[in-house]
Formats: sequence, C-alpha cells, structure tokens
Amino acid sequence: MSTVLAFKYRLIYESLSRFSSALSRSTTLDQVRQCLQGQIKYLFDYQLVRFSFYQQGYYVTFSLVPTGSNVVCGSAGLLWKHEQILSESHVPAILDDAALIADSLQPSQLRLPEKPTQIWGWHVAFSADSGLIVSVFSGGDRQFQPADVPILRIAVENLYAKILSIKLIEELGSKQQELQLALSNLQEKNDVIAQLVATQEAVIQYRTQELEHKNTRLLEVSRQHAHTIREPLSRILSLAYLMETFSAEEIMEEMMPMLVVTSHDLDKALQQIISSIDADLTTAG
Amino acid sequence: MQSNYPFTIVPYEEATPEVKLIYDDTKRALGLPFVLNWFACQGSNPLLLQGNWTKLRTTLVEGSVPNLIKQLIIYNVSAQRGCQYCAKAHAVFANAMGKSLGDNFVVTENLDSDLIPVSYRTAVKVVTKAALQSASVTATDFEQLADAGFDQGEIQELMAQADLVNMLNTIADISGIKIDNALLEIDS
Repeated sequence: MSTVLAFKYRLIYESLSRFSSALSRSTTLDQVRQCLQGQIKYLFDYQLVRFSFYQQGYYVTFSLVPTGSNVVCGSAGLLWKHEQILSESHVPAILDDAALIADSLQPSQLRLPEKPTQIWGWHVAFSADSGLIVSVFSGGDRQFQPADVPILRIAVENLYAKILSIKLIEELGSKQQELQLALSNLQEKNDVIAQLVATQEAVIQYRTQELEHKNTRLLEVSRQHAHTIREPLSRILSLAYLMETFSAEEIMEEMMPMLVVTSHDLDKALQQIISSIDADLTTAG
Repeated sequence: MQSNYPFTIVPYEEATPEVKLIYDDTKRALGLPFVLNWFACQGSNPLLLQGNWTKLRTTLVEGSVPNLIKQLIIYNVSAQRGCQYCAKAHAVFANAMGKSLGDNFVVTENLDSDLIPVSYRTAVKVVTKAALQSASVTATDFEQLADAGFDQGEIQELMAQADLVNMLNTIADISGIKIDNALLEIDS
C-alpha cells in the first residue's frame, strides 16, 4: 500500500466504518440520503456528488453538496448529460469540458460551494441490468483525488447493496400487500359461498322435513281409509266366490245387480279417499 | 511543568472501590489496559473525577463526529497552548493507526495536507480558534463549519471540544502530570 493511500485509510477508516454502520441502519431511501449527507464529507472532498442507481429501467438518484441533498426516483430521464455518456460507454472518465460540466449541472437544484472544474465518473455495472453511475464534481478547495478512489469504491459497493435491499424489501412489501388483498378477496368470496351453502342446507332441510311430513300424513290417511275400501271389496269378493254355486240365470238376475251396487260403493269409497288425500296434501304444502 | 498544587497520583491498586469503578470505565471506553495519569491525578476526589470523566466521555468518546477529528482538535489546541501532556497524549491517539500501518506520514504533522478532507481541516481550524480565542468567534466561523457540511448538532459537538480541551489542558498543566509510559510504548 502506498504511503498516501495508507495515510488516507488512516484518516477515514473510522469514518468509513461509521458510514457503513449508518448505512446499514437506513431502511428508507430518505434515510440513505441523510446518511450520505452526514457521512460523505468525512470520506473525501467534493463540490457535488451524484449516485444514480438503476435496475430494469427504474432509477434512484442521490445528489449531494456539502450543505444539502436530495433523492429522486423515476426513469432514465433523471440522468444528467455526463451520466448519459457514462451510461453508454461504461468507461471511467475524468471530464473537464466546461460546457459539458455546465450542461450536466443544468438540472441541479443544489447550490455548489464553487464552480467545479472536473467530473470524475464511473459506471459500475453489478449485473446486466443493474448498477450505479457515480460522479464527483471536483474543483476549487474541494478537490477529489486519486487516493480517494478506493474509498469511493468501498462506499459505492455498500451503497448499491443498501439500495438494492431497500428496493427488494419495498417489492416484497408490495407483493405482500397484493397477497393480503387477494387473500381478503378470497375470504370474502369464501364467506359468500359459505352463506349460499348454509342457505341451501336450510332449504334442503326444510324440504326434507316437508316430505317426511307428507309421507307420514299419507301413511296416516292410508291407514284411516283402508277400512272404507275393504268393506265393498269384501262384498265383491264374496259375490265372486258365490257365483260358482249359482246358475247363469241366477247370477244375471240376482247377483249382477248386487255386484253393480257394490262396485259403485267401492268407486265412491276410492273417490272419497283420493279427495281426502288431495285436500290433505294441499293443506300440508 | 511541575505544579505546586497538591495533586497526587492514585494508582489503580491504591484506589478506593468507587474510584476503581471509574478507572475501569475509562479503560473500557478508551480501550486502554491502564489508567491514564490525567485520571489518576484526580483519584483522590471521586466526585470531581466522575464529573470530569463524564464530560470527557460524552464530549470526546461519544457523538456523531469522527473521533479522529476531535483528537486532532485537542492535539492542535494543546500544542499551540503548550500543554505537553495533552499534545503528546492526543497525538498518540490521533496517529495510532498510521503507525500501525508502518508509514511515517503522521496525521498530526500534516494537518494542512490536502489529503485531509476540507471538513476535517475546517473543524480543526475553527474549533482551535474557539478554544484559544473564544471571544473572537463570530458568525463567519459557524458559517465555515456549515459550508463544510456540518449540521447544527455536529457544530455543537465540535464546539464542545473547545471547552473540553481547555479543561483537559488546565488539569494536565496544574497537576504537573507526565506523559504515561504506557502511552509512549504505544507510540514507539
């Protein structure tokens, strides 16, 4: 390790440790912003620092000057001019084109201590569609130096991991909310189904009771009217048995009229029973 | 400097149980396996020792400003005032890590290096002024700290080092304590 770098590490090892500790305690992007605002000044000098995180077209940008900071989420449109260049080239660069620096700073709403003369920029891709574009605006009394690069690299790796974890937790939270909502909908539907089933059971029970009642009544009615049928039927049977002992003339003259009368009696009895059952079923229904 | 004031070093073995508890607390908080003479010279008065240790712990050991900045402030003020005990002790604390890395680029001897972030240099400069010429501190000094990125709480914490170092220097000077041998061994 070079003397300069060793000296730099001596200076900032405690601050780097505090930065990592404060960052690990951050659970929201605004807390990350506050951590950066409080801790980065202990690590290296800058006029302005930009950390632009991206993943699958989603961007989070932190802008930081010694006296203020902000964090914005959105699309690739948030990238400043020099970041668009870094985004495409992936090549670390020290940019000192005054026009480009001015162009890049145009969207900034933060007050820089002095006019920067350089932009130190990196595009650190952590996967095919995710990474961090880092840029330090340097100049005047606040010069970013080569010895600061390894320190920045450590900070960037910590920061990327933190933003990723916050984003992941937010996504999990969002999924959990969706699941809760789906579960709630299922519960509601389940309740409706349970209600329908309960109603059906009640209807079936009612109908079953009704049928049982009708069956019972039919049996009772059958029992009550059996003797009404049996009497004319017995007479008809008796006449039938007697026919064997009578001559044809006797049957025609004496027994047939009796058979006709008795058959009418049976018919009347049956009609009475049917009427009675109909009346009973109608009343029960 | 040898003082006429009757400060007596109270070694750990001869301290009362109450003072031993405070000594142990200083060792734990500072990570030192021995009691600094600055505490041992107050061992005969547990009440003052406890009060001064509480002030030192809450101002120098705890807080959100890196300890290195505070050590550099106390070193710088002590060196400029001529308090040899504090200048030596706090130079050892500030440089400890640099020594262990085996280089000769000592922080206290390079306070103006542009490798040191502006926030450190501004804090050391402004708080040194507050400690040595407190009446001349103006709003501009506070603005310098704010421009360096320090918030209100950090500025209060930094300014607290000014009155802490004055207490540290006063007690070290009037007690006539010598730099701890154990500290010199760390520095060697």
